[in-house]
Amino acid sequence: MKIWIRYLTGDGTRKMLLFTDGEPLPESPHLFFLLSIRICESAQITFNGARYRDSIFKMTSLELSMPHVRLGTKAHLTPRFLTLIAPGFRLKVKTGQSIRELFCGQLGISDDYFENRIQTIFLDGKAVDNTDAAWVEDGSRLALSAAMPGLVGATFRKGGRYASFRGTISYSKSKESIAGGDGEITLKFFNMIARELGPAFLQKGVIVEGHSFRNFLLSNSEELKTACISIHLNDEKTDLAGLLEMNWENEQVFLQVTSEKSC
Amino acid sequence: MDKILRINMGADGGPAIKTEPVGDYAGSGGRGLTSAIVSKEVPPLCHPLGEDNKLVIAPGLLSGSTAAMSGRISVGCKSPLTGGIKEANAGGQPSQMLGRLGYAAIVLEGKPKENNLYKIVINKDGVDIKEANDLCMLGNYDTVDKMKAQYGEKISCISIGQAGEMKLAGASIACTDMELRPTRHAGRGGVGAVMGAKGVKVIVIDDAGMKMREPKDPDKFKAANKEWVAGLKKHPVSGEGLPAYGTNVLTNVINEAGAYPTKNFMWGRFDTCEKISGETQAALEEERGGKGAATHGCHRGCIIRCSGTFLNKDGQYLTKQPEYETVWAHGGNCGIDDLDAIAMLDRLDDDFGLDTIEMGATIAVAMEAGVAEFGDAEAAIKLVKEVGQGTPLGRILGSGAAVTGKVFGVERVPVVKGQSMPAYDPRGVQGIGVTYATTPMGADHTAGYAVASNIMGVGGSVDPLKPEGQIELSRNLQIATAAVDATGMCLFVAFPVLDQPETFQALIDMINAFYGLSLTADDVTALGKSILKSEREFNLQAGLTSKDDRLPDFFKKEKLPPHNITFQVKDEDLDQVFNW
Repeated sequence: MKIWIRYLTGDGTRKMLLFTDGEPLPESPHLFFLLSIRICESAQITFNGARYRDSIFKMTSLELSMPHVRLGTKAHLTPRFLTLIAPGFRLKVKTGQSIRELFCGQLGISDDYFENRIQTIFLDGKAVDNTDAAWVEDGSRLALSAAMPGLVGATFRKGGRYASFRGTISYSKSKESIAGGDGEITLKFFNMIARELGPAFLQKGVIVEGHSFRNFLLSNSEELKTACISIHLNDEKTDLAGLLEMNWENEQVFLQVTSEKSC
Repeated sequence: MDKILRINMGADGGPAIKTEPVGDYAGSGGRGLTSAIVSKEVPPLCHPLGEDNKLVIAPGLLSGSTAAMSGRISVGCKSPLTGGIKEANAGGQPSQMLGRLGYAAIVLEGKPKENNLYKIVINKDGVDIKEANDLCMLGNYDTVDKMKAQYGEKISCISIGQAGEMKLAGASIACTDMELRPTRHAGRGGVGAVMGAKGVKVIVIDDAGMKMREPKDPDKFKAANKEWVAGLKKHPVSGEGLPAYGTNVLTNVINEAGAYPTKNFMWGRFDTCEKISGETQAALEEERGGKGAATHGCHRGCIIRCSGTFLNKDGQYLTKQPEYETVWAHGGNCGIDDLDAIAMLDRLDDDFGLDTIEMGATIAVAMEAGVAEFGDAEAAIKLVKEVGQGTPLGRILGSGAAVTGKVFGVERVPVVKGQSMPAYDPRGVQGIGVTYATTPMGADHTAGYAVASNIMGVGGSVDPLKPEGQIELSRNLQIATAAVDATGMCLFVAFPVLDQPETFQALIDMINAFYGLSLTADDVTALGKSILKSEREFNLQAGLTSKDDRLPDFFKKEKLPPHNITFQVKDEDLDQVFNW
């Protein structure tokens, strides 16, 4: 578990520290203790616009390393967020597993849905035929689609009859070369899969690029103003203007969108 | 459909009309009929724009009946673009109406002696042909509006725009849809130029007073059609994906696969493709046009409804929902990621009567030549407008990618037999490269498109994991497609037919019940083979040889990012496709 902490020193200097599993960085043990002392005592910590004191050490969520935005919206607004995650979103996962283990085990997709609904899968741009022999690594990019039309659609179907048509771009890698552990992957959902899985993943939480998030807020500001019921940033209530005031460049955002019943 | 309408446009005293029984052509329809007539009656060495070429327009075997999805029409001739035989296919209303009027085909022959344009009107009372020079150099939209004003709103039209009148090799033939808009095109191979060479601007079809064609065994036909419809509705492709997103649903998938030809086939992935994806397009259409705007059938009896309606920013109708091929050709292949610009280009293609694939590929070649910058949508729109205006540059562009590449000295010209490649890079999907290379039609993704496990099982088995399986697969796919093209069925029945053998059987049962036959899957295979055989023989006599069954050299040399692969199928293997 890694936590980046930005903090202001007493003289207003902005600094950042990597906090790893409670241990200080080898090269700056004194700084850590100094920080912790300063956190517990009198240091002023600014963490992405919100202020914290010792409560920061009580947080164990991995997503502390980035701003955490939580939105409650009316049901009809949720599909708009699919455009935000269309280019892909990131998740922290256990790596070294097969695609089937990832989706049906870690991510809770039903076996039936995975087998029958998700007809086309790409792993790092390569078409996957056997989801039990395709391995997820740190940095993997996975794209999922429902059945596609036409011959070429049939060609990319997992385990399809026309797989030989695209044999040169089919996935093939042995497990021996795959490292297991904690990692981060990019997921892309296309067509019906986006409609069906997107909202659930948004509710659980996804990581998106800050600049994309900002552009999304700007492009959908009118709809968000009317259909966003609640907005929280790092567990503190805020509003759309508050979100737009943030400097999202070079940030990643952990975003959760919960759809609430329309009034 | 027991009669053929022949019109000799070059007869003394003006066009001469003759209606004759189908005769030896009985039992043929769609591509089966167009290829039969062209291969039998057109001298293979004739000039495509000359009097000896014929333009054959034929509904499918089931067109005009209540069979779902049976509204496709085939247009055949010797192609001015490829120099070989051509069958171009379109949706819309004309096929159903011609079928109900009893016409198995319209054959335009000869060539007018004077430089006149003609209008042909076909209804239950017969056929009338009149000079129509007032339609000269009108776009398809204006032409159809004039026909609507004159003949009412229950007609359908087959027409050419300015491109066809100028006899440009990229010219298409437009067929009107259910809203009487000229949005469905027999696009490939310059068929519009041949219609222009025959001096025919528009064919107006009015089937008022005619009934649906009756099957020989109505009960069996009804049962088979019911099974057919059920199969189409329950399948996730035909029942969900295509109605929701249209064919452009393929953009994200093909792009992710790294097989999306980008900036004149330089790369396999377009960075901003999600801006022009089917998902984005459908959302935009529904935002502007309301729920359901992205779901629309091109002909009555279509239950897949893969088309839609595209409104502009002001909420005005602009064009039909652009297809995957259009969004790719004018979009990613030209580096353009603006859906509104692509929709405008689609509108211009439809109005001027241009093959959208050929036009987009040509603009991309022109961009590589420096005529415009990749990504410059305004420049692309200006170039297509030049085609419609018939400027010298416009005429070059309207003649297709091969000509444009020659004029501007571009090496990377993605054509086979002179026809531009569609939206799948053969280096990524090598098997489709086999079809591009070998089909008699020139680079054509729909030539080997129909998939049917029943057919695939006939004549031997294929190991899909072996590279050499691609040759046999491509062969079988081309056979199946040729057969399906004869029925008038939309090729999007392909997926449910692939997955559900009972759905394919329902198609055969419908044909059998309609005509009182006992066809089997073997007979379907035989039909497909005979169509392909006649097309190949025509091409051979027209001077096309195995050297024309090849992809351009750069596909073997230039590695396609992101996978960095080349086309690897050997020439000697390509030559085995038609060895059955």
